[in-house]
Amino acid sequence: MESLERVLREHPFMRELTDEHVHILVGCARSVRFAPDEFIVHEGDEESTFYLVREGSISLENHVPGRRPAAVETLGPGDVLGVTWMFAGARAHVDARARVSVLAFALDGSCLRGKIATDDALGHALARRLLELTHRRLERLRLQNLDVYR
Amino acid sequence: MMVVSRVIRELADTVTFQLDASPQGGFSFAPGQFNMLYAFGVGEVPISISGDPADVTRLVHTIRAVGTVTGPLSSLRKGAKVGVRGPFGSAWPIAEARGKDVLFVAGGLGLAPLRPAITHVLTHRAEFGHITVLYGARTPSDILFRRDLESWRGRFDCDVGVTVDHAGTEWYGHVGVVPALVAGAKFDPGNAVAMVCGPEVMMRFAARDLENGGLSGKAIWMSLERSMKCGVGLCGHCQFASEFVCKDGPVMRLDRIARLLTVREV
Repeated sequence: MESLERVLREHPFMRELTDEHVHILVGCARSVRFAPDEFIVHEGDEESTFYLVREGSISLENHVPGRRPAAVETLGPGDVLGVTWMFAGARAHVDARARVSVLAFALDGSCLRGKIATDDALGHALARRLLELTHRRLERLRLQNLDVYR
Repeated sequence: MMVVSRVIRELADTVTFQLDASPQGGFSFAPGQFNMLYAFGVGEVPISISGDPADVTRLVHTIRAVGTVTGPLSSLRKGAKVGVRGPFGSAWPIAEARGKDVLFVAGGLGLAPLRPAITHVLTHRAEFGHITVLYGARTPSDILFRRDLESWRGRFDCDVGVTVDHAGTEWYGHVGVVPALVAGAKFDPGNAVAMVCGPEVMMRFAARDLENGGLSGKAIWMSLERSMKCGVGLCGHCQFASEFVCKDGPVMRLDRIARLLTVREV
């Protein structure tokens, strides 16, 4: 558990969290590995796990009937997947597929919700960090949507 | 006037042609500069030089067919004649980058004006720190200079990241905008220089990510594009606030122009 906590601490998502908060979160975490082309989550699945990507790359894909499936974004080391864990019952809006072997931390959503229910400071720190990441991804997706190379 | 000695079809709408500069005794330029190319009977257009600055016998330009002049220019064949005025404009800060980490960030056709700088830096590798080339294209079939990118990536002393905005699931590379690659780039923010070229909005976003990574606006250089006519700062077509892109640019340091990049009227 101690070495998992030390490695978890080094993930970029944990950068602005206190050691005490990381110590609390490690109880919800386990290390997971996905094989190449293995689906981590399918569109429509309940988003009950929050993943912190350590190694490898994940393709976020949408399947549109009558068209080729589209890869909309690639996640890599330092990125996160499953940001809506805060909301019980939230569902994934994309497929997430390991393109190569992926190593990640998997944090159980209901465990996380239990922790933040009794620790406002932890909840605030996690929400702030998620909002920062989501804003940055939204900026990039807007740039992507501009289709500037046309 | 020069003669086309070779034409390379890079993409469906983009060609590179080489002009024989030997009759003129060679053509020297600094990476980042451009020429005014004249298609006889059609018109003139500014085009960045995209070849190896060490090879003065060949003048290389990469052109995307988007208008009344670039269309005919990109249709030229070997033996055709092209009018050449130049070189014009400011150059990439190669001298300033010596001894430092260097990041090249390019989008789309923006890789063409950066290629001479990349070529020079990799030829003189020992003079620079960590080298990173980041490139973004619209789709996998729009990746420019693919062989060069593969060659640079094949070296053991240079990091290369490539991403596309749109792809199918058969693409195993990165999908996303090129600024997203900046976060994973290795550089010492206190001792690095970034050279950025591409669509202006892409350059704004890339610059923001570089600054978020600790790089000062004094260490980020961009190549701007404005409609140019004379190329020598007289006609005013390329005016950029108090500067002229043709003679004060096209390569400009971010701290000098940052406040202007978000002014719509400029």
